[in-house]
Amino acid sequence: MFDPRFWMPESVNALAEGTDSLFMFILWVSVISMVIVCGAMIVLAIRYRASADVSRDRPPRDHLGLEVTWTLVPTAILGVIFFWGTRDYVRMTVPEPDSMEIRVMGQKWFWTFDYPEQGIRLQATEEVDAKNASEGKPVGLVVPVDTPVRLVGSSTDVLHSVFIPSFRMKKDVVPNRYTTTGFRATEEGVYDLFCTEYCGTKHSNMITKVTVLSKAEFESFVEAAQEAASGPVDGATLFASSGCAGCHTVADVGAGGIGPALYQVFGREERLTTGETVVVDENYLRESIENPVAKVVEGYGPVMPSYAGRLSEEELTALIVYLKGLGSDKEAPI
Amino acid sequence: MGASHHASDQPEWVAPFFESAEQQRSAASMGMWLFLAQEILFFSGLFMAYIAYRWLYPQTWLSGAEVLNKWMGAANTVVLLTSSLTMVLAIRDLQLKKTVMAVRWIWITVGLAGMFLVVKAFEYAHKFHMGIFPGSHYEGGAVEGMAGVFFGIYYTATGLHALHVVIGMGLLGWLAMKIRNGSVTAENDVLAENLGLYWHLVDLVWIFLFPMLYLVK
Amino acid sequence: MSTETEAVEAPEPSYLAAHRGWKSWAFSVDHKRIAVMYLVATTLFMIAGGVMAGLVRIELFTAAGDLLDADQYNRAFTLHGSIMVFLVIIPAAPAVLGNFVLPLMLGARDVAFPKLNLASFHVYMLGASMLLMAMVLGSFDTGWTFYTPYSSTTVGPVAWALTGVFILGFSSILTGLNFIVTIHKMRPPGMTWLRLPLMLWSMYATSAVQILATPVLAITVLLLIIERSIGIGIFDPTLGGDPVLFQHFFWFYSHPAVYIMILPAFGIVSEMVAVHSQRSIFGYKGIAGSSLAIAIVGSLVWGHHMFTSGQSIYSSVLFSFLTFFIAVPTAIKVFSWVATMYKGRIQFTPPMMYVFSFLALFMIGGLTGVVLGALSIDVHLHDTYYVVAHFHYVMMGGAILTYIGGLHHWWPKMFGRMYPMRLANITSALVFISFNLTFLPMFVVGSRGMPRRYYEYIASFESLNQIATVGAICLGASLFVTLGYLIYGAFRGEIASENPWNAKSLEWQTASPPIEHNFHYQPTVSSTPYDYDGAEAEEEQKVAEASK
Repeated sequence: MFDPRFWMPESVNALAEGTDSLFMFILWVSVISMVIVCGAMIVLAIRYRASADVSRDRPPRDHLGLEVTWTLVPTAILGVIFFWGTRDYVRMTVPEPDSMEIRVMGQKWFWTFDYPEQGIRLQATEEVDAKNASEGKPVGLVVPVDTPVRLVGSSTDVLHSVFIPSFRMKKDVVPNRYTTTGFRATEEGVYDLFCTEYCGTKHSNMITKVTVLSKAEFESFVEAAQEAASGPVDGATLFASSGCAGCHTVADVGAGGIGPALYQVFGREERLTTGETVVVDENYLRESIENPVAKVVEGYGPVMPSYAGRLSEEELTALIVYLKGLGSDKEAPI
Repeated sequence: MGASHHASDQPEWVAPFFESAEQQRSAASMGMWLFLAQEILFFSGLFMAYIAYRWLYPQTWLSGAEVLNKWMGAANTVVLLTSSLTMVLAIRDLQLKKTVMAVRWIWITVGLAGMFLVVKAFEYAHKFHMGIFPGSHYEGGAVEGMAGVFFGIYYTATGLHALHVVIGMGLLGWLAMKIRNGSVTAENDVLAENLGLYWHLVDLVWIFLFPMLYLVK
Repeated sequence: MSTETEAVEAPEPSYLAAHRGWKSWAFSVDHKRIAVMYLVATTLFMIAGGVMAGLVRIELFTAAGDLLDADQYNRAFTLHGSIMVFLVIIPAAPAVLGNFVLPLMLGARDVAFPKLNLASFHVYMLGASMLLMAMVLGSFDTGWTFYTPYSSTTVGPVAWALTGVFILGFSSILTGLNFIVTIHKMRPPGMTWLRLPLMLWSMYATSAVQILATPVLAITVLLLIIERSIGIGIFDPTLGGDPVLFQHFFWFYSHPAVYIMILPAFGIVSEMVAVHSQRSIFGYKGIAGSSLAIAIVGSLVWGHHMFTSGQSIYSSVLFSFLTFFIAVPTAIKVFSWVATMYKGRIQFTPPMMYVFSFLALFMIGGLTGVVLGALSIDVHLHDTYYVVAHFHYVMMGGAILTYIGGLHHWWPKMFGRMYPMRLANITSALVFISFNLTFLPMFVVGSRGMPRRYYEYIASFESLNQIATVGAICLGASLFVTLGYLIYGAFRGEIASENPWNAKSLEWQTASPPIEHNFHYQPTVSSTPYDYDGAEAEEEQKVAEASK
């Protein structure tokens, strides 16, 4: 337990280099303090147990020297820890100049990463991550090695928090506001990224990866992403990457999840929470994407976030076409 | 019950676990001051929210304050200050054993408090008429920016304050009855003093709320 | 000091036997009966909170979600936290031990406001009922911290829970108010401030925090209720509000709240270590002063819960600085308690076992608090299981287990009977071991990256979680054994004497259990209750002679 690797994963963020050493320093201070205090406790308990025949003459009620020492020494040690922690903190939270900017958007229950300089968007839903992993493509947040990155984060609904243990990095993302942090990855590899501010049902599924590529590989990744973005929009892909699958099932088995099941949804008669019934047509589907709390199906809560302004007209159409096809003669994709 | 637990020369209104009337009175007084301290901390949360949002939305605060009627607010301030005066007079008369006058002053205080609430009711009604309801029901349009936040704080602060006024009126009425039936007297007046303190606190809170909400420049 | 001994059967019955019937309890203004009612209530709620913890830990035995679904799990941990914080830890030590012991230690017949004391209890039960009502109505899943916007938008009986919390706050405030006035106004002749038992210094500091911090929770909760019902936009960002402001409001109370939890435990340790080492306390003034310092500085550190929230760097640095500041008086206490054992006559009684346990567990909890106070490290550890482990070490290992130790210390006074001591010693060791088995692995799994409030987690965290779950089951079992022998002791244990531990404070100079009005006469004091070697009495003598 005196090896930092016992406590923490490999540290691959240049900005957080001091963290592990400070942690180990405090660990040592703690172990020594425990040994002294608990050791003294045990020794005194045994030596002065009631049955022991030792001198108990004039037990001291105070001792200036001892009390001053045990006030000043901890104060000094704590002072060192404070300064060290503060210095490292400033270094890790202020992004380096000329950092590549990536915008992080947290929403229930997946992450979206926008790269304004490259003009691409990566959506890290469970389905997209699984698909990329199976196709051998980079998963999650993709960044080049040895490049300062500035993460500007925000949320569309509730508080979330971006946590990358291997980078020793964490920052809350808040709705209607931007929070900023930064890192510089020193080693290629794949690292965990967790949401670490409780955000509801699928808080623990709001996880993805950070993939650190070599600079060359990153360039080709960006190119491929830019090409894919300019092609025709596929409804099924959009469904997976927009996080819809997190709450809606599309297969013909099983009940709905957090939202109604969408297999054969088109043309279905649905009863709403208000008691009225509605037939699911293109307009109802469109309204449910842009203003989902307006007409909620009975038995479900008004929890779907709105996608108004986040999907282009072309994307909306692609989605609706896809939904119309679910359970009809077209095969339901996974 | 065991042996008598305090000297038998203590009046019967001294509780048996107190050594003396002095101790009981002193304890009751201290307890009241502590209660007031926590009331202040309670309202201070609202004041903090006010400060935070005024700093964030200064325009809203300016136009919001304009919608509020300064004159009604000022009138209410005078009413409450006067009621604090009448409360002091009530306690003084009680101590001078003029119980009939004391009771009268208390009822005047209650009457002034009622007047405060009536003026408040007019203010609220006027706002509802303008569509300024608390919270997201705000449809006013008369105020730019984050009006919901301003009026949310306005209604919460004045509403909580008004609740304390109502509670105060009830307590003062109860006090009047206790003076009438002789359980509160010149010697045993700590309940009157404590309720007087409560009333002054209610007044003090309003003295802060009035300029904070109505006189924003 | 008592010169009369109750050699003959006291003509007056004990407070337990003085009156019969449920009404004599429900409407009792006797601080001792009120304390016992709080004891029963907090114990039942502790069991309920413990069941929730059991559900959480059993679910976490495996990495995948299997026992509960995600929503049920979220409600389970929310209830665990809410019940334990609001219904158990905050009230327990002040309302049970404080209520019972405080007037007795002062040689008084009751607290300053006995009827208010009874009202505090009923207000507590009302608040508890509302919180439990929320449970019955489908429960809430916001976490005990109610962060917005999740808590202002989630569907569920959140308002019931919040109203319950609001009401519970009043119980806490009124208890604190009662204690401060009692300590100020009802001290016996001779008990100057510097002769106060340290338990009372602690209770004084606790009460000050209760009175000043709890109202801020009240307004916070009230604003959240109003926000949920009519959407004023104070915390909702879509209406112009600021969710981080909620965190400031919430932690402004909830950090001092942890001092409400631990300060009484400090007082209990002071009493127990002196009595069971049969020795004067080392560093009395340091311990008394540090209680006040902790209460004051503790109100200034709330932002250390928010280092990654998006608050400014300057705020974070300031809060970190103050957090380290508060570690110093806390450390002084620990050293003083250990020093109290030097040249003592140490009895290995169950209360002393709990003192040893406290010193070890609180050291670990406190030192890991230092880790978290360091800004750069906190960025990594915030919202992980490291924090969960830290606060369980201080809140459970430090506060709750010491409260239980205090019950062991004052049980013979409360019920006039002793529990089986050998069994108690063994069980306290089992509690200690299983506690560490449960929570030590959490430090490791947290620093390795496991976030809090996770229903499912990645497979590499599983083995440590399994150890923690096994520990939790053992912990629960040993606590049930403790409850069992304590109840047995209260009804069937060996009759205890007036002063089985040979203590010097006033509560031990009257019958066990005490008569309804505590003392037959007004006690006076001429020293601290720690004058085992007579040094203070000697000093008094010298002063008296010199002034002749």
